[in-house]
Amino acid sequence: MSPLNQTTAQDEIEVAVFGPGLGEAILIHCGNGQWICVDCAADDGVCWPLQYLQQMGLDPNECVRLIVATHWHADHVNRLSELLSQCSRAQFVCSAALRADEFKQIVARFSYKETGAARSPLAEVLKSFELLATKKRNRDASYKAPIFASAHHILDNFTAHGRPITVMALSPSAQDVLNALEAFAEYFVPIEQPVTGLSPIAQNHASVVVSVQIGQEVLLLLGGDLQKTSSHLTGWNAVIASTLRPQELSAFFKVPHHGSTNAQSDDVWQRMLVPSVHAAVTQFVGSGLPTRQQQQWLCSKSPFVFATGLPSNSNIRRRREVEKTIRESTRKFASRRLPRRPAVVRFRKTSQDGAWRVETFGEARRLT
Amino acid sequence: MDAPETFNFAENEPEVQWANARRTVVLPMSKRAEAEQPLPGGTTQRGQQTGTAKQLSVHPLEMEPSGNFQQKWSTQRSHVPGKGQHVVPTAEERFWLLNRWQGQVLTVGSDSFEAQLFDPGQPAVIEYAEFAKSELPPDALMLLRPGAMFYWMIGYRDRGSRQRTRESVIWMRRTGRMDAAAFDAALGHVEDIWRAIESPQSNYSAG
Repeated sequence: MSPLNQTTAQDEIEVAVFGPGLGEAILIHCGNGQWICVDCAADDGVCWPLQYLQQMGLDPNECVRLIVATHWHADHVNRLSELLSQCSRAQFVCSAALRADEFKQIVARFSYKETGAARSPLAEVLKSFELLATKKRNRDASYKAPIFASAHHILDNFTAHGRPITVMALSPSAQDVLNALEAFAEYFVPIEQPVTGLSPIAQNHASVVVSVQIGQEVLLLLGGDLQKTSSHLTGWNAVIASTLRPQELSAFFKVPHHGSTNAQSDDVWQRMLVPSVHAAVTQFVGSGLPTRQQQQWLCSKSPFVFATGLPSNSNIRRRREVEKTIRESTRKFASRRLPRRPAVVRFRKTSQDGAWRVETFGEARRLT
Repeated sequence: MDAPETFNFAENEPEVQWANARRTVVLPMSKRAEAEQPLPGGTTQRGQQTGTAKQLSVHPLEMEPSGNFQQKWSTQRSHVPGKGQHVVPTAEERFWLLNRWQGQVLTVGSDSFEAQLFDPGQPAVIEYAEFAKSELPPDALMLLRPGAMFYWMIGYRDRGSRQRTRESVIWMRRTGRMDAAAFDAALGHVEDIWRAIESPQSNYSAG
């Protein structure tokens, strides 16, 4: 196995999936040193995508051309503003739902300092937008207006190593955006009432799903946190039903929403992915995702599903009085350990051999 | 060694500060509880203990409500034959912290709620718990909603120098009220930023 900092060849396609346990980030090398970053994850004060690129001797400011924040949840925007500031030439993309007045109101309500703004994902979103606004006001030559993406929006179109690259948003659908606005309105708490945070596991309907077409050879499907719904107008049903999306089958799949049951769609695996697709799932330690049952479901879909780590219980030894009080005060209690760094699954392929070469680092592993 | 610390359950939200140092407190030597009885109002009495001093280590806290830690000593005058009156410090009601978490509510059910917990002394671990709603006092129940943050503390409460109980205390954070002027200012700031980036060159697509 090559070291984590082994550089990518110019003609090589790479998908690196980072999963520090409370978030995820994906870096895609399209060729010729041109990278796309989807979401941002950090651990112990380190922004993983930035560190990965820097360890390979790359300048993020030069090589990252597109940054997509699939949605505003904490596990997807951790240190997003740092990533944006270090990749000042990159085009920033976020969900069209974030343009709504309802979203601005919850940002104003919940990024207020006394609501725990230091750890609020909305404060991170606000910081990222402040960064962009400052660049705009300063007439910074590198400023690019953000894309508020919805389904079928072409996010980028370029050529790398002679291959045409097309990046397209497959979601949110128009109905997803409307539903998100309704949800934002429900989150708003009257200003005279105390409120200290937003649900960290609220619905993910407005998440951006990204499709990356690299030449004629490879189609990548990055599922964000999009969930399956009962409506044909929303979630994965809307993506599958679309006739405007690329109709080829994807050779790589980032499993949505940490493999949770509410994001499982048989139709996605049957109609959008090649048989025995290479796939990656990131764990979410807080909710213990993916569970054993969810892992088995993923294994039934493909023998090449890899996880950045799996939930594992931690045996913390506390004072006996504390342990006893925990037992007496709770109905359920579990301690789960965050993975040791690094937790990365790396997929590489060249156009010559055509097969994915998969490497796992840290606690990342293939699901069995 | 740091001074002994107590937690004062004031109505006001504590100031939150970062603290990295490991704390050492002096606690009386514990004895096995002889009686267990429930206490109303968000605490559960686990036992009663007395004894001599013993050193305990308390985990460092990431988000520490330091403003509520106070030494609460009163003075009592006593007469010592031949030496007249002198001042003897006696402890008033104090809470000796054994373990503390910062929690965030995930879901609220009919008679329980689920939360994820962060123990600042265990940075590589995330914990999950389901609590009965009866662990909360009535005014805290009104604050219970997904996303709400709270502190969970386990410790000993001394009432005077003769009674000690082991308690589990959930303290819902009470911040987040805004007056109209503060909200208008915050919203104005947000709208200014969005307006700046949503210029004619913005690439918004309606889908």
